[in-house]
Amino acid sequence: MNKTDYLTILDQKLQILPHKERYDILGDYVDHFRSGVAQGRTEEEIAASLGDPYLIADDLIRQYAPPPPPPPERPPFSLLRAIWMTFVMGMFNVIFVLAPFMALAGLLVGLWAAAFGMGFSGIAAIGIMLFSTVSNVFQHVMNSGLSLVTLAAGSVVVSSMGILLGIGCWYMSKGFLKLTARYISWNFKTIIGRRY
Amino acid sequence: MYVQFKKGVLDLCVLAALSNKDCYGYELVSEISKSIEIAEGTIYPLLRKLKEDGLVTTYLTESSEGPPRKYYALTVRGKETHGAMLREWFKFVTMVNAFLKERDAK
Repeated sequence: MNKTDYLTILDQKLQILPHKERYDILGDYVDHFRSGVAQGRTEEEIAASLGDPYLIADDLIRQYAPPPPPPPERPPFSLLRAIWMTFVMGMFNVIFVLAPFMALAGLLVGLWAAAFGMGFSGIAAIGIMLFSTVSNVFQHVMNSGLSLVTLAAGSVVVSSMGILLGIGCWYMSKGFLKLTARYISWNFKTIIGRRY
Repeated sequence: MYVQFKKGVLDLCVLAALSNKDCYGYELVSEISKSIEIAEGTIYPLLRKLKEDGLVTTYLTESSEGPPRKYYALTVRGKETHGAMLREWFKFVTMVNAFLKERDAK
């Protein structure tokens, strides 16, 4: 790359700058080439040691780029607006959010109950078999014709399912609570009208 | 040499070079690139920034060979900034060296 190539690239890349700035900048590089040649270096050598003209143009453009816009100002807190938003959010929540929320919460409570019921009934059945061989319940079951092994296996299966269901419930409840907390905090933010 | 290191200290090097004597562009660039491996073209944008910040000023002087030359000189503020940066730099280098040597000894 010789002097003309170098200056041409620089000139083209700097078109977005004001004419005077571009003229000034190019003047510096023209002088640099002239001084270098006067010292006995070739244009190619000088261009090489100046470095990539595209990168240098980027450098220069960045210097002239307008400063980034200031961050948006926080809207001032307005009591009237907050009261109005409380009303609006309240209506919205009662009409649209309350029913699905209650349904989901109810479902979760039901699942928890089922998990506990299954878990404990299985364990209880095993306990009864082990400790109260003469109990009425046992007699009753014996009369129904189920073998002891079947009964024990059934108990284990039922309590395992209960435990698994309990684990599932645990994660679902966690997600549900997190979602609820986020929703509530979003409500507050909307009412106050800014981030805190 | 690691590029990010150079970027940060090039301001200081330019101020230091100009604190000895006023230079024209090519002179200043060769002065610095004699000791530090850099893309010489990056000094001109830097000089423009320093001028904009009021640390450096320029004046034209007739030269024996060809058109007048643009000389760069430190302003009063440039001299003050150079002194302050120099102190900061040595403090910083001492700190980093102490830290690195301590790690290295382990």
